[in-house]
Amino acid sequence: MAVKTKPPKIADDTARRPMAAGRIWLVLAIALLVGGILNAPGLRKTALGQPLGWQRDVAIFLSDRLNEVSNPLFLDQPRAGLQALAGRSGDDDVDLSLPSPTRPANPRLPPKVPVKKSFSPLAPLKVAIAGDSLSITPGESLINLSPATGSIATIGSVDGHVSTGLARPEVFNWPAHLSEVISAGGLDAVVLTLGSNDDQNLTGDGGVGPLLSPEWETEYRRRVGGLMDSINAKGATLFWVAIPPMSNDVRYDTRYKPMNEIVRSEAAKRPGKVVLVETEPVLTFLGSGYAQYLPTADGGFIQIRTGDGIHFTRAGGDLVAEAVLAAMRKTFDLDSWRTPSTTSASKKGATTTTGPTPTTTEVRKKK
Amino acid sequence: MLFPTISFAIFFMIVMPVSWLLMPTRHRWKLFILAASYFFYGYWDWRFCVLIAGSTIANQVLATAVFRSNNERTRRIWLIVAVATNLGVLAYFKYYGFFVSNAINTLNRIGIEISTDVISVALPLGISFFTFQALSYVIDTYRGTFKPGRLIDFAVFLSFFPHIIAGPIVRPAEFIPQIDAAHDPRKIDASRAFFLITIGLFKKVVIANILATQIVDPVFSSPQQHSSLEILVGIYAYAIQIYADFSGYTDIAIGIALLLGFRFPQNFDSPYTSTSIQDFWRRWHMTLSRWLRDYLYIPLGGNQRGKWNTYRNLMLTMILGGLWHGAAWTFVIWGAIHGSFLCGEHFQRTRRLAQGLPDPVDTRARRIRSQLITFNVVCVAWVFFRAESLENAGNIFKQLLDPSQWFSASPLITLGVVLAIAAGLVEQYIPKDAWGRAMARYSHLAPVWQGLTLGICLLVINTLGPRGVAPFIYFQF
Repeated sequence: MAVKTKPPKIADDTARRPMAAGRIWLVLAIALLVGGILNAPGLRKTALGQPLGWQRDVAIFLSDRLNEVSNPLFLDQPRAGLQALAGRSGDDDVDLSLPSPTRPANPRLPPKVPVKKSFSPLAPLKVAIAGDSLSITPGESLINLSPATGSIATIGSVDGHVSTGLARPEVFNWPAHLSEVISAGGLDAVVLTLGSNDDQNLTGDGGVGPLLSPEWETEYRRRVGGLMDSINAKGATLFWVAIPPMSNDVRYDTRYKPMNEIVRSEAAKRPGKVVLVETEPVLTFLGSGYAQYLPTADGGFIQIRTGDGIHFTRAGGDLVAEAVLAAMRKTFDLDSWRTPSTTSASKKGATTTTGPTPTTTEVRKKK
Repeated sequence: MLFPTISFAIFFMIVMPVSWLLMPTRHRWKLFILAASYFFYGYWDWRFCVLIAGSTIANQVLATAVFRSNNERTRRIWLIVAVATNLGVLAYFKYYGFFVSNAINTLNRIGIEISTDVISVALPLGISFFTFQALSYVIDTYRGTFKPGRLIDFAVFLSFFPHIIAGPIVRPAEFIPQIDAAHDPRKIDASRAFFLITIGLFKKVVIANILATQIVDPVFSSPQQHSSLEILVGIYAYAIQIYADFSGYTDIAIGIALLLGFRFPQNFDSPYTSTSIQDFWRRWHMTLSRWLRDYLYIPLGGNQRGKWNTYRNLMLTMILGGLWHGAAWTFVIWGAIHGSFLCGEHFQRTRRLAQGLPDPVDTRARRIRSQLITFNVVCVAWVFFRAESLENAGNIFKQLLDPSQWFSASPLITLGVVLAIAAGLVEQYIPKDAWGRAMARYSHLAPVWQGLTLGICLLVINTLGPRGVAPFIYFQF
């Protein structure tokens, strides 16, 4: 009598069937191909965001081929459906358009300075904080320091997007994003930190290079001015935080200083509407240049920059936040609500400001 | 190179077949895998390769000197040199900023002004992990439990790319014998590897990143701006985030090593199901726990030298374990909390034994209560681990307990956050045999179906994860 052989038991992990290396490679290749086709729109956006060069070109070429398969066969729809479920429709859209500055009605007349607005706890200054990785720690400090003013309400968390700027709209389109943010939040002001990732050739509409050539400067100025105007057009005042000194002095002197100068001159054209918050005066030890540590009031030192020589520690973030608050106090009336009988004098035309308020941090430069 | 990237996928699709093709000629394989590992590590910064090469040569020389010496005193001296060199390099890179800032503060207070324009030192990735492995190599040689092999074997052990950045911390006796052992390219435990990699990717890319960006980072950076409920959920979310992030990385590392024919020790075993802090340390970062036990706690005397010495050893081990993560009081307190609870549990156990009392009956209700208490103690300790300063940790607790914030609006608690926390917890309560059955069933599918299934998993992970992948939390350690 024939003995029946039972099928292999698969009830426990000893019943796993091993696989040969060649088959594993085949499974992985199929997985990557299927995953690539199903994720084609996202891969294209990722490819566009790569650093400029042949690797980016290859990535774009390959992702385009995947999209050519995915799109006609509707294989990109499951991704779109999942994104819709997660409330992230439009994640894969790429918007390369960047606004240009708006022309003043009469260019011969000096720009009109808006009246200094008053804010109070009942009608606070509604502020959004956004920018690249350098915006995150100072932005968090600003969120922490703002309640003490009584008249500033920061909206949401820091809207930080690392490795972004105005140079590469395909990576992140700041003008489009901020337009949406301001419209949704009914904001009075935006604190923006941008520029430290922009020392590269410009892509998107009007893309040019090489870096800091006259053509580059013209286009970067257009983008900076366009962003400023698009924010002002929504009724919000812009506080643009200047690129701080970096431990790489050469990079700072030859690239970031000229970029700060572009922002400074564009801000000067929009008095009372755009304020450049200077960072070098509050972050330097001996009058100018990079400092990793600053003296404290008690004779010690405190670290203000992280080990990479670029980003901020909490103490450094507090210093920048205080500089922003000082700029806001110059631009708006934030304190008269405390003494209703006294009206504060309005100063018109302040476009730049430096230095922290003298109360909220122990970090002080030595005299 | 990060695991969840296209560059790594391309790298692995080349390295894996070449590795198996070269396996029969073992010397060529070693040279190839060493080159691939250095490429992987040097992808961030080529100077890192110089550091690991230096560490490899120095530790091989020292281990050989320990092994060849017949004189106990000389052997001991070589061992001390090895420990001091390894810990010195580690301290230089990890604690440089801490030492420099304290040194210039002290000098300034006694009137010696020095420039603060100090050179910043970037922390080489994975230095803690490969330094601990190198120390194991020399110490095991000293103890006579391991005989140092050839330089190339040690170099492969130290730099093997699946574990170089964030572990698991593998012992030389676990790995080096595998190098020359027979590997059958037709019998690879692929289904387990695919499960580990896929689950690891989901934990890191989806769960950890969602929790980090949507609740943990905002809550810990500005606790005063959030309601008590958001703080509470933020603390639980961080517990899940760090678990998903770190265990996700090691799951991927173990899976990648399996596909190359190597077995790594388990690093996590459902740690939030623990019923005590001692149980937790048997399940959390298991390879670090046993490293600390074997190379620190036991040499200190363990529990063999009386009650008070046991408590001292437990506290010292946990505080030094905390300091391993960085020179900050927050890490000291994190270690001290765990040390104190370990001492408390030890005290209870010894008292019960002394009184001749039986172990408490293991009921379901008792187990659930123990799990809840342990999880919440671990979460309290995580607050110190995550906080950027003691003041920050204090603000977290203050806001959590502030009655005026108990019923404030909590917009950060979204469905996505709740689901991510639930997923991170539920994953730990799925019975092991259920995973085993699922893997077994999967392993019987045809390669095409296996590939299709993995491709669909990639769709879900890539779509639900945020664009770009944040570095793993444990890279900084």
